[in-house]
Amino acid sequence: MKWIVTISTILLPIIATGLFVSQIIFTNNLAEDGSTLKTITANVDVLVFENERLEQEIASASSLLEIQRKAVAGGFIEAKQFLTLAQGKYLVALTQKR
Amino acid sequence: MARIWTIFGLFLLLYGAIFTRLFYWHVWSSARLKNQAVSQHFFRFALPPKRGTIFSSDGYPFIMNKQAFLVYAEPKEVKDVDGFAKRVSDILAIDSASISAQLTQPDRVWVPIQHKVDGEKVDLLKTLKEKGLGFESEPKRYYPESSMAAHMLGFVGLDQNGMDRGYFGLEGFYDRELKGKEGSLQIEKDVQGNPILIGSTFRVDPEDGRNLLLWVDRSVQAIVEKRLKEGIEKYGAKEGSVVVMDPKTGGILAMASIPSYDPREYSSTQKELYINPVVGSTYEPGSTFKVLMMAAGINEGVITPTTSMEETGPVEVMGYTIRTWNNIYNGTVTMTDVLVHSSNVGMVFVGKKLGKEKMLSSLKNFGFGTLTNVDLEDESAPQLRDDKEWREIDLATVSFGQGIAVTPLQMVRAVSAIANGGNLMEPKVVKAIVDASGKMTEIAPKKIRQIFTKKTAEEVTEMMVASVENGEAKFAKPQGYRIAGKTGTAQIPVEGYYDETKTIASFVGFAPSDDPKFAMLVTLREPSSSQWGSETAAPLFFNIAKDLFLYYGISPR
Repeated sequence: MKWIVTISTILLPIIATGLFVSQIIFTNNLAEDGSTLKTITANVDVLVFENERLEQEIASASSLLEIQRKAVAGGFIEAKQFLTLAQGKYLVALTQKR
Repeated sequence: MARIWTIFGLFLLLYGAIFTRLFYWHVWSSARLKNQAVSQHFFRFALPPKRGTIFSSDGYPFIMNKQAFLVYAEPKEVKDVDGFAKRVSDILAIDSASISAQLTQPDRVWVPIQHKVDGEKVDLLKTLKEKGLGFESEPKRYYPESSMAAHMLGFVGLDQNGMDRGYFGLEGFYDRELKGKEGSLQIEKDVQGNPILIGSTFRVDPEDGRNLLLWVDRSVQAIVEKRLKEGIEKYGAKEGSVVVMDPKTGGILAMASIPSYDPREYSSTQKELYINPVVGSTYEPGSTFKVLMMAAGINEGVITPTTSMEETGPVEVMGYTIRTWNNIYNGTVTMTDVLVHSSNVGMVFVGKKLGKEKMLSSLKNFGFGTLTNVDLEDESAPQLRDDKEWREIDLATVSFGQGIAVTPLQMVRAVSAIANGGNLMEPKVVKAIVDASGKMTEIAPKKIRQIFTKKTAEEVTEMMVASVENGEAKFAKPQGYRIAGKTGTAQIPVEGYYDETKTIASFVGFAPSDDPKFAMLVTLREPSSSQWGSETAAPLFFNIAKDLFLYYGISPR
């Protein structure tokens, strides 16, 4: 019974002191991480901004206005004549056996 | 004893003073001091929600968000006010005097200079390295297709508190859904202003606005806008509009009006142009209305397509003489002939057969006089006059579409009922609403009521096909397609009289008539090349229809 009391009186203060010191170190580290968090948040903002800009560029590049502009610049012209296959009157025998 | 009382009194005064001071701090100034303490110990951010994106039916963004900036100044930091104002205003293209005036106002610590400034301009401003000039990011609406569908989409402006708010069209109607809900973040900070990770944090996430998925097809919209612009130039019209509807669902596939405006430059646009004429302006439908009156007559059982009448000359109603448009009379004609020749005299016959009661109940049944409840902010509905005020001449003129005002959307919706077997649908621009988590809520097509029997719809469709095949506009019809339609030329009332030189030319119809893919109404105000719908609006209708047949892969018979 005596050895338990002896160990308790020596170990418990050591453990308590250790935990206290650990808490101070840990808290201090976390407090310093505040600036890191600020940097990360700023980076997230930059990436969000970049994503929005890219989405906007994709939308612009795939707009009908842009496609039409590129088609005209590429020498395409609007078709005036069309050849259509009339319903039920195929020009070739699609079901013909070979 | 007196000294004791004096000291006692002094103590009382002292306690009273202490108590008063404590009361002042703890009760009177409590809220202010608490706010000061909070601002010293905490960051507080408003977390703005992202306004929802508006997508066309193919998933392409009609309107999306773009990063822009609020440019502001801190007057206390600015040394040379006039020089500062000149340099900044040169880049922002605004009046430098107004900036100077704001900066020199006493007690101003923060002056907003311009909202929604593009990144390129902000980059230029940053190169000035002006002390006291600041930037705060804020979203701005971006239109990848420029001013396409401007009337239908509306625009985002600022309300009286300087907050974003949607006006007109979809932006106005769905403002609550699109704008979302602002959030906030409160973080404990250290003496250097960095956040304390183990400090208390209070966060309310913003709810981003919902996205809208439209019935509107971007390609159909582009076709319609292109052809309408060409048509207005070709026929020398003052204004024009086209609305294309899916007759089976009531979904709006395209809607365009000219003159229009650029939603990016809404503030420099005439305010009259904000209103979408397809839903917010009225016109007299003229002969296009005959198909509806004919349908009413057939549905009520007072006529059939083969009912004949004697068209021998003008008819007199209450002292007024009603003639055919070309003053030619064809003797014995059927109701189909009446529609083919667009005979006003024949329609007076139908009107008389219907009678006042059935005609008025039909008009109401078709949805005239009430809102269509389309999901656009600027809808208005012209009222029908009171039942007691209808005279015989009014009933006669309404039978051929004069003396009644309707909106283009009311008109195309009623004709869509002929196309879909008799059902009056509620027109809708939005097909589904998608929230930030991706959950889609579809807006189901809504049938208001059945206004014709299926048989009536089929019979009137055949009469409209005959009208296209044999009517005045047959020269412009695309070969091989069955199109149901009707031309219209309505004189415009000016100061109580009809001006014979000023008309609204229109064409309403649907195609292919056997299984309609679209119903469409084209209107041209005061065309100068010809006043007739058959020579202006009808060819424009057929031009758009040709493009739509190709787009939808509908081949001729």
